[in-house]
Amino acid sequence: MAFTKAVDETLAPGAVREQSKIDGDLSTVRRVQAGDVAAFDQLILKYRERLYSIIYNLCSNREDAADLTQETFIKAFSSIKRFKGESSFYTWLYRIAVNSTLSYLKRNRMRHFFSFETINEEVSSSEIVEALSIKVKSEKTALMNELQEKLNEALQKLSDKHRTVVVLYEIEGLSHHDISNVMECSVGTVRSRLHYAKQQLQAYLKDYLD
Amino acid sequence: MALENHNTVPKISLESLLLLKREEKPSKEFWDNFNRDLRQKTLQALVHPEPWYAYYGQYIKMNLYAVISLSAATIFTLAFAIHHYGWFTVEDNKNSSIAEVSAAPSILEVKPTHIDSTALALAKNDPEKQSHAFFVIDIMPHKRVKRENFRKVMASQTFSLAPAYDNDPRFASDPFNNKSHSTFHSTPTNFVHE
Repeated sequence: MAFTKAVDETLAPGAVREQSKIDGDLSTVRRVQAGDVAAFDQLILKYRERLYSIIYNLCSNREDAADLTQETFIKAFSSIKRFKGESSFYTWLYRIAVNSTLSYLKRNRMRHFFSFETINEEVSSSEIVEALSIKVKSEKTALMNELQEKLNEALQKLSDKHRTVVVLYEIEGLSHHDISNVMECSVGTVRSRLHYAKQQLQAYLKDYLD
Repeated sequence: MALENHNTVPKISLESLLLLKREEKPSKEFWDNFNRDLRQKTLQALVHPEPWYAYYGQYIKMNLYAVISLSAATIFTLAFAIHHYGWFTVEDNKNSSIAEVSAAPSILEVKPTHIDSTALALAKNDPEKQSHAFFVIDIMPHKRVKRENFRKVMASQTFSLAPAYDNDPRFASDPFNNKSHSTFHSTPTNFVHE
């Protein structure tokens, strides 16, 4: 357990930078708690894109993701006085976002519409985009769309909890420890869910993977 | 299907493929609208704050299965306890009968049916024991047809007969052979003949 934590910490780049960021969040949160409403705008600007990305990748619908992101910020603002600083602010915020999204998905299990953001190939630095750059433009766009569609299909086949772990770890780059805080489960559970989810994705996407 | 032949797609790792999701970003206009909507909603939240119970409602919603399980377990335990033990039963008090009679003397009608002669002799010869006369009584609850065979040997100062018998001329000859079903009410100090 200690070994895995140590590995996590070693692998996490810029741990010191993260710590100073957390301290900065805490001082901003204290200002909001003291009644400085404008200070909350700083937190919104800082976290809106990451929060939107998590929610969007969980629900695969951009309109729902926008609504849920706003709802998350309003919930955080309404209950910020209950934030004691025992965990980092972003963990607390991500937890609200994940819980809101999972509740929403549970409520709306029967009616589910997907709408995806488009990938800007010009500014994208993804390995896949670089790999596809050998293709002519029309073919590249078609290939990209196909990959995006297949990947989203595969993610939607996972259970909510498995998808959450994949999104938080592989896409958002959170550590196992942070994910266990967000999802309120053990690090072992996070690892096992991640392992299972990746196996499932490998099976669904075997035609496209090494 | 955009492409039938998968051989044209370059093979990549799952991690790289998942990183593709990072590139799905909304436009600048989206964030402008987002900020405007969020500001309106935040102001609404300031004007109409959440009631105090909303937090607990959310908690219950999030942990619905745990709450249902806990409630079911509590109800089952309560039902089991009530079924087996009844409502708030207290069984241990050995002096409860005496305490009840002493506390509510007017409820019971007490009829002496037989008095232990040994106890009487003791009471008559020893003035100190007059206040501790032993006698046998039947207790008949008020307004009940069915007679309860409920005999008790009382040894309490509360039910001392001596002063009442000594002062009443009707018991001067042989008060203990009197089978006329005289009714006595117990009082905290003696029996009063009706």
